[in-house]
Amino acid sequence: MTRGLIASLILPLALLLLVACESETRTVVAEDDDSPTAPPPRETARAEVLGFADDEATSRRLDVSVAVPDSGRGVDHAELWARPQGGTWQLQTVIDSLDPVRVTVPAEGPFGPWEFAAVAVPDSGEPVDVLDAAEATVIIPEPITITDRHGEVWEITHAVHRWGLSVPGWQHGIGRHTLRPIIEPALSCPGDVDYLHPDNLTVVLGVFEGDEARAYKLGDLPDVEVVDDVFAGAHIAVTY
Amino acid sequence: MTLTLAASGWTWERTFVLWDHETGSIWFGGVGAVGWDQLVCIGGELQGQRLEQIDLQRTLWRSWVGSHPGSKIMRRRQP
Repeated sequence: MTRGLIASLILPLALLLLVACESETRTVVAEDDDSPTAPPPRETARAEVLGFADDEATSRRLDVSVAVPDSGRGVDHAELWARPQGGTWQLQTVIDSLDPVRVTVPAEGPFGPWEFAAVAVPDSGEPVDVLDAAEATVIIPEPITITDRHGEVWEITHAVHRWGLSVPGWQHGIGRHTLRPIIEPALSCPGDVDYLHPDNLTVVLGVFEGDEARAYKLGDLPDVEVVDDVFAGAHIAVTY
Repeated sequence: MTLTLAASGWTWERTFVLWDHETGSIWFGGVGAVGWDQLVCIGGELQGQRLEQIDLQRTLWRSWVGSHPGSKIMRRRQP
């Protein structure tokens, strides 16, 4: 470790991001269905793949944007299909939202060009063929994996392609359970017999919020690498 | 979702790579494009999400406790 660092993290941020990513579920009512003697002309329900968040795929998980523009025209749901070029179509996911959505799909299969198509399924239940023509294609990279000392295989495709964490830089691999984090540690308070003397010159990482202050000795971190704590009502991780 | 971060056992260029117990995703801070002030999920279910650093000080205990006389400190030996 050449540079000491505390990365204290407000984890609820991740929660907010996750909530924002969830698809909305909505019930669809055809607009003119209240007249039993005159069923409305049914327009062809359409759905389309708008593209990828990551046009040059850097991993085998893809964020795909899908639109179902004929909302209210008898669409029950949409489906996202994909196939390796020359392969057979495989259903990737069912989309209940009738607004444009971004869904994440893992590409489980060969690397190379993949084709994507979206299909809107009418609420009549009539079967719908997957489109012959793909609406979007993307090159899915060959998976890059490394194996740790316990034999666990780690996929680092995205780390390598997107963030430049090239394979030779990955070292040690001593296993994910070797350094166990400290979770919500016991604290020493002023007046406690083991409270650190105020003249002590040890290096600490300190956080404060309002009247609340807390410190972590830098020297206590290498053995565990991470302390997962709750401070001032927020979940934080202290790391070095 | 509250994430429990832990060391993955891997380092990249001598910086620890972390993982979260909840999704198994891997996290990293300190790469050029990421910066030292955040962690980025570099693989797994949460790929692309970021965790921002909160305000902190790296200082001597004497200085810290002088500024924050009521400060608590993590016990070295955990029960």
